[in-house]
Amino acid sequence: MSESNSVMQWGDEVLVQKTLTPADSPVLLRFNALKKQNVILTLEGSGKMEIKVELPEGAKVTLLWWNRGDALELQETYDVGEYADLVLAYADLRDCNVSRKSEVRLVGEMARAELRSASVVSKESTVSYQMTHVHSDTTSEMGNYAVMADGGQLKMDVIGRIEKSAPRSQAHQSSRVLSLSSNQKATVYPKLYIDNNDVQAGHAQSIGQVDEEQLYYLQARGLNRDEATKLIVYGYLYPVAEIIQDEALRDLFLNEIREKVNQTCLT
Amino acid sequence: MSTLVINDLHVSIDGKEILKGVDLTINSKEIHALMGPNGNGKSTLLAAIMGHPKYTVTRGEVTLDGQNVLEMDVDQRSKAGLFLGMQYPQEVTGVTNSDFLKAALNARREKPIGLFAFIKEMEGAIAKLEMKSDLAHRYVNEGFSGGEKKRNEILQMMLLKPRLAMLDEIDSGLDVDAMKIVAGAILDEYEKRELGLVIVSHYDRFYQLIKPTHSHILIDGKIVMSGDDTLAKKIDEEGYDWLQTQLGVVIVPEEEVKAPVRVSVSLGTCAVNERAKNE
Repeated sequence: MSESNSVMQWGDEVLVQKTLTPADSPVLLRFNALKKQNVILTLEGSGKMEIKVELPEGAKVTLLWWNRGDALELQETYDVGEYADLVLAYADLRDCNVSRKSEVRLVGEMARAELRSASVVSKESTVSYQMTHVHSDTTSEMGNYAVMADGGQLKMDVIGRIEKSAPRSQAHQSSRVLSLSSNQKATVYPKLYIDNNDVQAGHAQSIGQVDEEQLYYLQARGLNRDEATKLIVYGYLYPVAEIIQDEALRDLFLNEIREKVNQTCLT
Repeated sequence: MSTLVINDLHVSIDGKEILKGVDLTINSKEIHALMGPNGNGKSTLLAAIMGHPKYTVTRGEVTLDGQNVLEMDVDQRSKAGLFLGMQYPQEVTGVTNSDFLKAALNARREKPIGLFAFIKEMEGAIAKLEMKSDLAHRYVNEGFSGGEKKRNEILQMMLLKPRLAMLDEIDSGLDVDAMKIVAGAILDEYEKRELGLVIVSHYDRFYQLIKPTHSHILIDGKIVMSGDDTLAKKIDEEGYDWLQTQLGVVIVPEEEVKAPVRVSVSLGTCAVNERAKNE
């Protein structure tokens, strides 16, 4: 890729928080090995952004993306090396268009990557999440949780790719969509491209609506329809935080979800 | 002093009339036992008062201290001081009991409740009901036994402090010890805050623990008999059939209630299987 505008390297800090805007693009993030790293990256502004992330051998990184931008177009690639561990969590909770293409390449033996996304879609969201297994004995897991608000349009590609060079790899994905309105459209394309027989792969999808009995139960305790819906949506997105090991970080992520869900007009 | 007046209430579901003219008045400091065979309208009455969307009121009025309850949204009825301890409490995954109750309390306050005050109250109630101390962090009713769900209803009642509480078979699923604890907690609230109570139960043993001041028998959508606490004992000993002969009413046979079936839909085929077939 072209010479980066911003190159950031971390290895010793326990929690890194940084804000990135399209002016920083293209961005290269390089993590040093052998230390657990927690990173929260906040995106602001509008426009295109190219982000490349490198996890060398042994690196263990939890990377949270707060999308606070406005109609950002994001292109992300991640290279996960030997025995490296990547936990990737996306929070797309604002009332704006989102465009994202994200590819995680598992290039070293025993590389692992887990991705979860929490989205509240009230505008147009076009996203693509791909896990590419290049090396043998690699593992990937993707869990996408999308809540469709009134007027939302979602097109989501969820791709697991296991190349011939990657026997004994495992690729799993699941996508769940909760719709809050009949005036929305969600299209999810789960794809598995598998070029090796000695692998495990699977996918699962579900699309549902809010349970009216649940809504009534919450309303019977004094929450109006909007408040009750927001609580249900929060509970629906809660599992996204479960992959975050660090408790303090998990609480931060859940807080972000709670705050942003409360601010969004859902019903 | 609060008064709930139900006047000539007719309620239907899916076009079928269940309540055929119910008249009932409940005041603070009264305990009304509501009995009757299953399928004859007890739960319908309580749910219709609370505003469950699947019930349609076709005639009649319900007022709380003169305010028209039937015109209120479900949440407004709760804020007005009504509480319903449900027969089948819902599970809400991902939402902790603590989050839920805090949200419910804040919905009726000007300023959000202080964290310390909230925790203290919640822990006090959990201890009083002898529930597990990790309750606050568990998801609402998820993984709870039937008895735990019922105790969770009372926990909510203790924190929400209603003026009038309706308890739908709160004793079902409770063992003897749990029943004493729950009855004790209910009576405490009753004494402390001069609650009005409507208690639906089939069993005299529960009415022995919470002695009703009034009792009523609901058959085929109407109250056919009212009395004092001795009525519960009579039902316990003789059942409901004698009412058919004495009053000429007909008990509606209990319909088999089918549990809602959750259908899992799997979308798409598995690529691996397809490829393996072609190899």
